Amino acid sequence: MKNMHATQAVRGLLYKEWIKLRYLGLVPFALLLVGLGDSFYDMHGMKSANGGLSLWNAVIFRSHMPFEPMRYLPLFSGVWLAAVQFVPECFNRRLRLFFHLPVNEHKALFLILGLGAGLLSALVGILCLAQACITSLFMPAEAARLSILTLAPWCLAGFIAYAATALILIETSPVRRLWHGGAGTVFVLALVDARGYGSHIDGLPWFGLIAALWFATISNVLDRAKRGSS
Amino acid sequence: MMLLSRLALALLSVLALAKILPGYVEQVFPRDYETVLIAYSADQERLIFKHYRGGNWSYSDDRGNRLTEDEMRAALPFAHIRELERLGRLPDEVAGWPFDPEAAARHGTRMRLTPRQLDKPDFSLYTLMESVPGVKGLETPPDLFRMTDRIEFIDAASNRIDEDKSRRFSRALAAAGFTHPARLVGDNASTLKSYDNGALLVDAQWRVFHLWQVNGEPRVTRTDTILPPSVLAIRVLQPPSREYHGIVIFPDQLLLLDWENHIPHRLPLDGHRPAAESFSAEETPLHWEFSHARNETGVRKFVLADRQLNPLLRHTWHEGDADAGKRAIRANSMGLLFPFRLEFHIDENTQRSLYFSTFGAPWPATLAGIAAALCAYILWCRRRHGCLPHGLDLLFVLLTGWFGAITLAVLGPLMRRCPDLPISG
Repeated sequence: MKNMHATQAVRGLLYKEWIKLRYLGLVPFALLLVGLGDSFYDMHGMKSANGGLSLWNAVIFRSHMPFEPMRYLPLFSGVWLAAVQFVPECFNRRLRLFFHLPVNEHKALFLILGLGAGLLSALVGILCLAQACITSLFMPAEAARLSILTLAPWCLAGFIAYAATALILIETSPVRRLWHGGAGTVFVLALVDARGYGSHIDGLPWFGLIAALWFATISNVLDRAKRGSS
Repeated sequence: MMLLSRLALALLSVLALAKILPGYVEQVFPRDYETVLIAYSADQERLIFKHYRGGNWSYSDDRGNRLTEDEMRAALPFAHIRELERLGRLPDEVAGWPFDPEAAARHGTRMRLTPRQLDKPDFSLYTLMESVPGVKGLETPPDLFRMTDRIEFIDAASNRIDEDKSRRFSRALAAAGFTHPARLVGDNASTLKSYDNGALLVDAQWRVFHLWQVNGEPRVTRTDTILPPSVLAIRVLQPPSREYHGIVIFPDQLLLLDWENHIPHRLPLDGHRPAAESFSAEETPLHWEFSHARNETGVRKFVLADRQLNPLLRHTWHEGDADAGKRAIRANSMGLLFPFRLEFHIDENTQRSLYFSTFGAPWPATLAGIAAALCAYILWCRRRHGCLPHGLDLLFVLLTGWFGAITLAVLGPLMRRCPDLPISG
């Protein structure tokens, strides 16, 4: 009987996430489409106007990035998705309801986080693959490879932004909200604030670990919110 | 599980503080340290120092005499040949050598190597321009090449491999005994040079090959130079004097490959580390001048060598006592406040990563800072929660100093010692 209630609760949670994300979750994908189109027409335009050599010179010798407008897309998407998912949960102290579900609150939290992170993964996966395909249309495979390595830290910044936004929204203390926001900003800026191709290749494993740590922090904030609210 | 989560948040907070706080606190200390460039006046047989501090230049020699800008220029005619020419003050002779502006320009190579050039990611696509371009002059080639199990030229217009050219050049390399895969490639894509010197390739056996494109056809030289596997990079040079083909960079030395037969000649440097120090070379018709320095150390090493790279004079410049004192005060104060710092970007590298460093303070200063942080945290717990902190919290502060103390004060302790004490979130 208890299992049945838990299953129904999980279904209910999934349905609630679907309701929240079905339209607003598409906004980052719409922006991605615009960004990819811009990247394609940047390269296509340069090649048709001045020839392939001009495009290669710009990219290889002058570090021109046709996908530059997408620098902040994963970051915005992370903040947006976390806000869409957690603002309705946390606004007006509604988080208290979360602790009365017939399912463990940490499982429920990671279900929501998993959905958001999965959606973000789909977005950055499409971004990297599509950009690699677009680059390969005009340039050798080496350029496509380095483009993906250049996009990777921006994508990691998106995951950190997602986890930090969720943390800020779940947090109940205004001082700690500011604290989490400041700490998140430090790492996000470290990932998006660099010029040139492949500037984070050596540091990617470390920044990946930091992104994973940000997700690990959320459950104890939820736990404290529960203790504070009970 | 919850402890790991709390530790993760505390650790991230410490990392963020270690990035932010030292940077802000350091602004308190003056940063107008003196830097110096060193050159040799062959005519006057003395070293000339160009001092730079706070946006101003001043000049002196190794005997302690102050020099005016005009005196400095006159002492270094090779380095200021254009200015002296404009002023009509070119010397008739320098150290017994009849001054010839053309020869001075021909032997006026200037070379700069920085650690950032070594770790800069590249596309692994290289240029091979036409070395005998005729009246058109040097032009960017319409293709780039990559090294796989053969040499492949990719045409920029079609983004396709030029099979015919790739076959011809692969055959030429194979005929010269080149073993794939290539270990290193050195090219020079600039067209702003007086001639093209092709590309230097290091094959799987670490042998150096030199490849040119002459009238569209490959020309390969198999050299007798086999490099040790510790080599970091190889660069092709186009000096007007045509004395050296390239430079080879190792973790602890630099070699020049001579023009006749690519034999390596070691530069007579004293403990140079290319991955950490910037290096400059100035050629004159009489000498070679080398200098290398590491950022923020207040030390620059200078070597004067003859045309055959035999050292003639060595000099190590140390910053003055006032600057060294300022540096020590900064190091001690920072070491007292913070046990370490985190930077995502350092001057020596292009790569953004996690760079931890200490401030070079004596260990008693660092320990005193950590002890102060521990005491402050214990007092905070006593005052705020009425009990002593848990051992794990103390260990955390012991390892992270003030960063950990501030973090735990804001977020709460990692472990509960008193039953009514809230734990961190």
